[in-house]
Amino acid sequence: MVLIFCSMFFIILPSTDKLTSINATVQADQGETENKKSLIKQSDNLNIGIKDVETKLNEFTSGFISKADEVDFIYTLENLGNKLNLKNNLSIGEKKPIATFQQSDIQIVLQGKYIDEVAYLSEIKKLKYQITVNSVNFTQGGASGSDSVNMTVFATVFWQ
Amino acid sequence: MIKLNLVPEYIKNDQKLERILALNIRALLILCFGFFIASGVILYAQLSLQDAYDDFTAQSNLIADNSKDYNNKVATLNNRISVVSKIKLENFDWPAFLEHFSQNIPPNIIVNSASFNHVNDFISLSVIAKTREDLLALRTNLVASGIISSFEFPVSIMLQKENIKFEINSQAIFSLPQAPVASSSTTTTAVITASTSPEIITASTTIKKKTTKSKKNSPKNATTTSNILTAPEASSTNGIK
Repeated sequence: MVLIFCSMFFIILPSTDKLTSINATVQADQGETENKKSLIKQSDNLNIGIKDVETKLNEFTSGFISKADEVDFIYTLENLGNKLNLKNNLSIGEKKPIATFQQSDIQIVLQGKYIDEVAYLSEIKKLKYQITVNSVNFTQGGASGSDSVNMTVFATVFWQ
Repeated sequence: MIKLNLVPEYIKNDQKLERILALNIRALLILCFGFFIASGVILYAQLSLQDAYDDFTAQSNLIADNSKDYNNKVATLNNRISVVSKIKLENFDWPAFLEHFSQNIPPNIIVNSASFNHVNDFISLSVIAKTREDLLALRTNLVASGIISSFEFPVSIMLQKENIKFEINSQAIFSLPQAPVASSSTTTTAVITASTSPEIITASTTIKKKTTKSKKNSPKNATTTSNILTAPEASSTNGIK
């Protein structure tokens, strides 16, 4: 009998109390639970959407220069200038944060024939790197009478 | 049949009581056993339910917390998208624009320097016009092409008849032509040259004829136009000022 009373007081009564309280809590939180369920569904959909957008964004930002590509980027521009018989001089400004990326101003001074300089502008569009040309200045280059033209390109490049 | 009743009555009662007691004890034991089983089931149910409820609460709280992360993630993503959109919008077809610009410089205009700022939509030109009419033709072409909305020459400039030096600093519209540019006597010629020699002017006129035959606005055309104009080993009479 002692055992029965013990189990009654220490097991059954607390358990029934607990069950009753859980039941009351579940009943009270039913609305919130429904909200949470719908939130879970929305979260799943959102997650799929986010992944989709991220994939598309990454396709575009692949043109942003990574740390490993810094030297390759400089070589690419220099080689392009050399290929088109243009004297070129690059200067890259400090990196500034923009969203989760970084950007920096780049100044490219080229000297050579106008046709080659226009070709240079065409070629940099085809590079794998994203280079946004902001302004272009032309002045006469070299000695008087030469067909040399100085072109200064002010552009922005992006880093990831 | 003889029925013996040798056992005393009190012993019989004792035995009866013993049987009742044994029955009661057995019933009590069965009851205890059932009670313990029931207790165990209830305890197990309570613990399981508590666990399940705690799990659900923790999970839903986690999701609620994650939804805050999603908000941050979406905000970051939107920020990135706006940056990328801006970058895409800023992409400009410079070679095509320069070709378009070149086509609108009359033959007798020498452009000593040119500056095109796509960010501020500003254009700055330093030109020398052979005649007043050439300068007016330049204005007409630039305005008609939509590169410049309008600009006026000072009267002092209009008083000059030949070799007029003039600087144009104006807001510009960096757009590409929608339709092919119609060939006219005042369109299609050089961009940057440092010469005013008759040879160059002749060369420009020749190019005009060639380019009007070829397809307009093609990069190839742009290259040809610029190439021939800048190719001659022209002797410069006017340097960059």
